[in-house]
Amino acid sequence: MSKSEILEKLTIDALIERLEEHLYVADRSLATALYLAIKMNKPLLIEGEPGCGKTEIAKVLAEVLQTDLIRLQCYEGLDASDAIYEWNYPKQLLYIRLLENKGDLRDVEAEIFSEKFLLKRPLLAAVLHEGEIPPVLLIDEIDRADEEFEGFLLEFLAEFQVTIPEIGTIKCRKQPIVVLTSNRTREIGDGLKRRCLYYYQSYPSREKELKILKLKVKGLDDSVMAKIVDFVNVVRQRPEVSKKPGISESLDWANALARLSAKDLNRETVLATLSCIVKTQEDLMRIDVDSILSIIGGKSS
Amino acid sequence: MQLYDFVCGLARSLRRQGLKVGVSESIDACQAISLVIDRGVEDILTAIRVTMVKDPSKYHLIEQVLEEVATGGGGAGEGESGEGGSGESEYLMQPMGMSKGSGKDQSSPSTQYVMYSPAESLHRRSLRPVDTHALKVGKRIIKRMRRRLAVLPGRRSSQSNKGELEFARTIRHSFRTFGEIMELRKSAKILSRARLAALIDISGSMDTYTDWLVRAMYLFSRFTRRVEVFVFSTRLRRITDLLSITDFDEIRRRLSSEVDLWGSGTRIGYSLRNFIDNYGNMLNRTWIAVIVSDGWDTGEPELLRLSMSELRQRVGRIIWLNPHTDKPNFRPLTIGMLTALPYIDILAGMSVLEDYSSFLRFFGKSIKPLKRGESLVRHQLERPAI
Repeated sequence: MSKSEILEKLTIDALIERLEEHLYVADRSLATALYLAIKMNKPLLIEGEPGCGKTEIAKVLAEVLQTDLIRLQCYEGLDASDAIYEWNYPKQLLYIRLLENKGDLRDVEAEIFSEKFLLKRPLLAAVLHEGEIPPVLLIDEIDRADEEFEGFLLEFLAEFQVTIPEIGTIKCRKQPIVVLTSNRTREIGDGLKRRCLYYYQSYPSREKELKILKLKVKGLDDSVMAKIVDFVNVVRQRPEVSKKPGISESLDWANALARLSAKDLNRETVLATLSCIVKTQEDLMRIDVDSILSIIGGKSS
Repeated sequence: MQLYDFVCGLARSLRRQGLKVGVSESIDACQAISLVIDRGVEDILTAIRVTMVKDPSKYHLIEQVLEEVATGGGGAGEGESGEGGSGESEYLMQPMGMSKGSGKDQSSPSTQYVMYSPAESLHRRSLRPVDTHALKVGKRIIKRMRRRLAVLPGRRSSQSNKGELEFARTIRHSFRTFGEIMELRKSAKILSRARLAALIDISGSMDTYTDWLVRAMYLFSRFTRRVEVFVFSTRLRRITDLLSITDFDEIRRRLSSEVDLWGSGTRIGYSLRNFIDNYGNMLNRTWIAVIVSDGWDTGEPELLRLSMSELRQRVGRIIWLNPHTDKPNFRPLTIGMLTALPYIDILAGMSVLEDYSSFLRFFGKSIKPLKRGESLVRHQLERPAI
């Protein structure tokens, strides 16, 4: 199948299958949301608890579609120069010095404001992408960026073009597949939500989490994996735990236990490796391992 | 045509349930549903969810609204005929296992729905018009407070040795040496922003200060762009959305009709716990927590201590505004104040938002950079033994 056919012949069932081939277990609803985002050329905003596979889905989608992943990691203070482009000032200064007293001033100006001196940041890279299939543009943790940046994104996501005063407006040839993620540390503005399709990624069901572990972790008994999933589920339901473990923590824990060749989930093993799923000292103190083990022991029996 | 009517009916019903569903959402929904129409119920529901319901806490409304649309309720209420979403939508309802009948009287043209509303309350309060002079002074003070407490870089920059290289300034500076670049000019952003979470006690013991509290809610909501305002008495309620308009009279009306906690008892510890559990993820050291309360607490002091201790770890500063602090010979002897005092950076009176000299008294001295565990209690008190 040629690259362009991959997009044309995409169906929801095929997407689920292909995602699973790339070790990502997706709900049908998530696959439908991705399918709609691709077919409707709309950005997809995925919100949910940390560690539930929001970022991973964009990475795997790029692999499934055999295209590039362009990632913009958001943080406080992120501005347009970090997201779109920046002139390479030191290089420009050096070039000016080299050309001093040589050539026409206008030529020099045209030269130093050419693409050669442009540092392409993720959004411009996505616009300039030349591939057969549009790239997957991952705008990760948009909730960490300032609201000003969110306002700027509104324009970008509507037009998919970048204006550089010295060069002109560059419009993308093929609209990238945009996936935005948010951990809900703040409310995303209505304007941005309106421009996106929305999907909420919650903690997985027991069966789904078990399937993920079986797919991704090798060298661990099924019974131990089931106990890991039950244990993590009980921890998630405890109100006193401030940082709830996500799927990535379950995977870390299962991997750690596989490395230790654990044959059972007993008190000693749990205490030795609990820091894989519980990441603060206070939470470690609050968790009563014995009571959780007795609960999951009761469940399994 | 049928699909469009169905989606329009759905959008109207969702709007009536308080969801922000605009025309663009309806267009997206039409497009999305038509892409999955032959795929079955689950995919159609997902298409509706991803395009029209962008708040996971409202997902439960979808089935209720679909039923409403199926029974013809979608068109009522906006001056349009109730048949707008009825007959035409039937074909979409059938694969979803819903029919027009579903036990409701089809002959009645307008169907009334009686349902629970969380905004309904026994503790509403009519609020008096605002004192515009006090509001003006308050705005000026809140601006100064923001500058005093700023920890985040703003848009403006100033010359600095550590910042980013400034191309234009470097070139301009080189003119002094006939174009020879002797020095690279750099600039760094000026700290001018902070985030603020205001938790305002509106219980019975704070009744006397209602006017001030409403003014404070308004002023704090304008502290900076990143503000969250909450009110609490026996429980916590987020009111940031109610304050996100410019018309003060409309804000007053909203606070009066939609906030149902006025004059109840006080559970500070429980409310703080609730705040940390639900909004703790957003907090970090760039946040300032402002608690407005007299410290009368009917809840467990231990819960308050634990909550304050956790809040202390999560935010940069804790400012407590107590109406009694302005009184001469004030001693923080209420159980809430005694418990919270060790975790507070600045304990001030309500006059800080009314009087500039009072603001300077509590916030005037330079506030040093944050250090974990550092206390900046300005009120010179001999702390009673706890």
